[in-house]
Amino acid sequence: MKSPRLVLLFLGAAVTASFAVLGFSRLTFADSTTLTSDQLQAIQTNCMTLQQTLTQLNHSDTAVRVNQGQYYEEISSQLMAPMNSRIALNHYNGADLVTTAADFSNTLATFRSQYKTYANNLSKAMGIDCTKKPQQFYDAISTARTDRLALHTTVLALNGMVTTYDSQFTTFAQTLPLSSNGAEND
Amino acid sequence: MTEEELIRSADELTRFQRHKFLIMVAGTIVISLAMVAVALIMYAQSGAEQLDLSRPGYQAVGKEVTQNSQSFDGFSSSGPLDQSVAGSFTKQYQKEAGNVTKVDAFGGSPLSDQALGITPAQ
Repeated sequence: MKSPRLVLLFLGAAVTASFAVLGFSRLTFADSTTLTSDQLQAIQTNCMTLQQTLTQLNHSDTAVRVNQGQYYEEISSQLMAPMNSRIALNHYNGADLVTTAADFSNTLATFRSQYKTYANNLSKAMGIDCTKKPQQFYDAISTARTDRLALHTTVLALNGMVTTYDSQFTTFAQTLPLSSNGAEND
Repeated sequence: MTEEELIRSADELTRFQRHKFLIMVAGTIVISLAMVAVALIMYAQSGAEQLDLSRPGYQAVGKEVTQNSQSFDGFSSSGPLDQSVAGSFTKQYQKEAGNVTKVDAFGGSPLSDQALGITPAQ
């Protein structure tokens, strides 16, 4: 009789703990900047418009994230990685290309993580009632703004690496023979 | 084991057996809830939530997403490497590179005070 009770107790605790972790995972904290009464009033007056703007921004950012992420993944896993493997298999020295591809892969992981943080914080701002809590709403927007800036910097870094790999490969390609006739380079 | 203990033990077994179907149903529900909670945590933590275009209100966003996976086969990691192969790779690479660099992703300042109308534009 004790065993089923213990099992039920354990399962109940597991469910409670799971929901608690889920709740905590959604908590974020923002830096506070004190607004003037005019700014607070502007937020309260334009609350509906602000919420619509954030919703539209969230939608367009989602599309950009999916598209850019797709292209970055393809460049990393379907172009850079196979080419680096092919260079190694043919016994050429592609150290620079490997370094750039590794940096790109690491920065891509940062991009994924930063977008997650940004989207969470933007969603948090969207969930705040700006007619009742204009200061809290503004703080949430400030956090999202900082996250977006960091995300943009990472995107620029990724785009820079894409260009760098291209120019490195162009230089590398000049050392290749016109025709290999199917034989590997020794 | 005494006779009394045997009788008590048999009573407890009978009581458990009487409720074992209800316990099984309750246990199944609890396990399902726990698994759903874990799945939701993973869904939220992994970032899949933000990329899920089947969420309510995001169906329209799906139309803006480029479906290019069918036209892009990737590059083979094996085979010879010469200038002809390099040329083919460069063509494919620059096409993909053009797609990412032509968009100013997450640029601009749509969250600035001026853009949101919190502070009048100077």
